[in-house]
Amino acid sequence: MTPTFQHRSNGLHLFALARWIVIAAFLGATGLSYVYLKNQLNTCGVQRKALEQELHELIVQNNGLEAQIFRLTSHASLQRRLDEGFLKMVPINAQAVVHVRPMDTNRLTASERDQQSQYQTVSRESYQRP
Amino acid sequence: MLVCGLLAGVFSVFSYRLISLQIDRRPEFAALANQTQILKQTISAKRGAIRDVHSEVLASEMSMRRVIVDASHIKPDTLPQVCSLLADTLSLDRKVLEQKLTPDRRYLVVQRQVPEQTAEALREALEKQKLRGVYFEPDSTRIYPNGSLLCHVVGFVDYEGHGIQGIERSMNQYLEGHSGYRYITRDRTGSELVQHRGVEQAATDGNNVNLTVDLGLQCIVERELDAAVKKYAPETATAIFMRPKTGEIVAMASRPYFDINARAIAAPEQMKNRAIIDMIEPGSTFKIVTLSGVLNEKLVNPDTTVFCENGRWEYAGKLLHDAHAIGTCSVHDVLVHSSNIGAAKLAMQLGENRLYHYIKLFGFGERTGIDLPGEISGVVHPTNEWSKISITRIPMGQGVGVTPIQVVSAMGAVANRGKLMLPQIIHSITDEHDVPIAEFPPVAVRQVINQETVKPLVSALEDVVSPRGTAKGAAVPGYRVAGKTGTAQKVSPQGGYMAGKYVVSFVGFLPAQDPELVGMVMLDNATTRQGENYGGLVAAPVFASIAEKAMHYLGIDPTEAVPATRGADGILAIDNDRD
Repeated sequence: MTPTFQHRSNGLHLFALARWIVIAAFLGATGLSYVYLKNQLNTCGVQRKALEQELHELIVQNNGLEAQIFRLTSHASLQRRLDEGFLKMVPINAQAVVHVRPMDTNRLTASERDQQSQYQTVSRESYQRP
Repeated sequence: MLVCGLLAGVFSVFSYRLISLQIDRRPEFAALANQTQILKQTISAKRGAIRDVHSEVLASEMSMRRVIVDASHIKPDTLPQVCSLLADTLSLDRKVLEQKLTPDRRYLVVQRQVPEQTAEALREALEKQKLRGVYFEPDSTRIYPNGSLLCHVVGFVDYEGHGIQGIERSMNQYLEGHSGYRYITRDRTGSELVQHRGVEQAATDGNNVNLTVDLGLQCIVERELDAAVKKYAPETATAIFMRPKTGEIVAMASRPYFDINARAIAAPEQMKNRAIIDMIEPGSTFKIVTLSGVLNEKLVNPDTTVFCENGRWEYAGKLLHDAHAIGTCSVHDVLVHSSNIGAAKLAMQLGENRLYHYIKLFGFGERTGIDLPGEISGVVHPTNEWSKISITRIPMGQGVGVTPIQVVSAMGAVANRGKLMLPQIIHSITDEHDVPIAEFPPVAVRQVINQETVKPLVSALEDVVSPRGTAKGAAVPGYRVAGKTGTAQKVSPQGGYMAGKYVVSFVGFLPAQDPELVGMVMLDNATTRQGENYGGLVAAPVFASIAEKAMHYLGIDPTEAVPATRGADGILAIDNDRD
């Protein structure tokens, strides 16, 4: 009896393989994208923090300079510089003073000022004083 | 089989533990993680500024940092290093710091109000040495660029930033902003993970408060008051200047004073705003009330004569004196010569009830309502508590307690055609973008006396400042000045009066025909030569000196001829040859 050899092999299911490859690739890409986006988010957060820090420093610097300006231009500071002799005050003779204010202009009271300015007056009824 | 069974068993145990940790006890561990990682961060609001009428800054906020420590983030072996660095940079005691920084201290404020440069240097040093656990929070401090100028009015804040005196206190609810917050997530090193930032509520900055005070005028007033203090060395001194038509306070100063930036070393006596909290017997300045009453009731006219008993008058068994013996004089001259007896007789003609009525009408015995904390009402007893001699003493300013602001306010009513105005110190309130949210228009409290009564009264007050009157020294070249002197014996805390101690004052307004300013200068127990401690000799010249400079400053043209000798004084210009 001659033995018969039957060649047995599994067929390659290309479609199924392709499907799994696509699924794996998709899952891989999704994972990588997730990681990438997470990193991006983190980088954006770090950048935002850095910008916030920079902005804060600028505000602080501005505050400091403002405070310095207030101090240097204050009446007290000018008086001190005057006392130290850094500034000199020269008396002006009363006859040499020219008043540019028109003679007929009356001083405006706070209530009269309201009518002329763009200010929106808040009445005392609607404004609770302490 | 056995091996498989064992493996399955082990894996089952592990799986159970995994499920238990991840699902069963998840809330517990999540809360624990949140507790360590999630933090509610406060976003500080900026306190508003206080400014004068020309927007010159009197109080402002400056950014600082607060250094905090989360000791649970510090590795035990680096604790001495952290303490040493903090102690060196912030000038703290290292040993105390080491004792405080136990691992359970998760929030310890190490130092407040650390300057930005110091905080930055500390942060860099921490980063360089790779030390953890030290963090920085925004903080701020209040700066007062003008130091002692207007110190009693501006006031100050406590270490938490709440106003405790002056405008800082009375306007605290407007100056103070509303702090915001945000929930932040931190990684294991303590750095914020910005992408996981939670709910955020922005901070609202405080509003700015603009005062009616003019710093230029305030400088003039304080300089002259300082000169007077130097000359007369009084215990206390006060000066107030107000616009009579609107009630706006343009200057207010008290001595002794303090530097707001160095308030920690100031004594309580230096911090008192004497313009509103000092109660004094007004002396002869109070005669305007009696005169107003009798003229307003038409009981007399300015030319009606009064017999002033030649300077000595006994009433109800008590003797009443005049400084100078006067016989018969007109009602007008009772004020000009400041006759106590004349004023007493006029008050008797007016009667107790009507005198009391006019005292109250002028606003004595009640708070004026100025927006400053701690104002007192003074003391005016009702008529049923008056003694037999009260009717003769109250008209000359004895037996009543008043504040300087009440006296200025009352004289302001005379200057303002009989209308009493509410003294105002707040001009407006603006938000953080400087958009006005509230203005304070002038408030007329009441018509105290008729307009017709004012004319003879002002005429008499003008004569007080003439060579005939008691206040020649209050005259200002080029302007008509009206006013009244006051010389009151000091009340002793033990009862009665202190011999040789006086409170001298002058209250007046100018130009008399169209008043722009009403003001008062008061000195308590001035040191003078014997017989010179009078309002007309001490306080009136100080008033004149302030008023003259103030008129120049405000650009109010003289209405009378100016003597040539006084022409050179006045407006000064800055000549800077070095800048």
